[in-house]
Amino acid sequence: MKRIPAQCPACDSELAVTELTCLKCDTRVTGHYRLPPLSRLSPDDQRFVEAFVLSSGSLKAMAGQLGVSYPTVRNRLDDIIEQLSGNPDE
Amino acid sequence: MKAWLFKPFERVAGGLALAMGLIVIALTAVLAWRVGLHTDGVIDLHFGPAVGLWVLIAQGLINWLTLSLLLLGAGKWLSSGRFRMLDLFATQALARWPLLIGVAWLAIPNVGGEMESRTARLMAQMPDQPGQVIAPMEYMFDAMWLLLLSLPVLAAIVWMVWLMFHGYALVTNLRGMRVFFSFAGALVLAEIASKILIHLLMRVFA
Repeated sequence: MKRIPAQCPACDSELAVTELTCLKCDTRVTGHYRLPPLSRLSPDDQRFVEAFVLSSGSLKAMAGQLGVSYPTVRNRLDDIIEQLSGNPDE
Repeated sequence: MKAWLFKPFERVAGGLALAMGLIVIALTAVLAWRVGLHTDGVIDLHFGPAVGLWVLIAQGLINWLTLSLLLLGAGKWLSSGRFRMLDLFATQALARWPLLIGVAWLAIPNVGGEMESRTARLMAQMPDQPGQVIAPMEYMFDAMWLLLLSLPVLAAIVWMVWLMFHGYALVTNLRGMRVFFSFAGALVLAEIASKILIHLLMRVFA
């Protein structure tokens, strides 16, 4: 499955959804919809969040899986929290 | 390999690093005691009079705890405080391992002996009257040789300070000028505090 691009390939600005299509009747809705905050993260950060959820939020378990120390995982999570809290979903 | 030498705490922290760090502190104390070295300050290493093993162990623990406690205070004050105390104490203990290499270098019989004898020769030539020449040219060779033999120890101390900084920055997740200046301030204060504490300890128990 193709991943949703979160940044403009030309100027790196945020991308928004402008058209949605019903998969059954092909009705099209146009507008200006912001991507959910998690979709706006980089693919690497999205994979990290996915791994975080799959490990039931255990940073210790994640550190073991990734072969890095606890503070390294903690810092990565803090950086993502900062990105999410800096981009409130309006 | 480079990461393990200069950024090891990205891979290891917590209980394992603490256990390894305490072993490093103990080994450093035992080796320093055997060859007559003193570690009476957070970043100090030099020859001195013979003392009991417990003094060297106390010096190692005081050096480690003094800096760790000051960095803990700085970290809690400046960062959001979401780091584990265990990681800070563990990384600061393990960061001292280059000092073990410095002690091992000075424990090589020829190196330690040469340094002690050349230092003694140079000290004997120190002027006792103001205005006298500090050291005649013939002793320049001694000074240069002494400097050369000291270089691995200086490199080990610089490496240790880098690891202490890396551990503090990683655990507290502080960046920019704040992490640099808070670390430098804590290091200076810890050096002064550890020297005072070790001096007091020696006065009380020696």
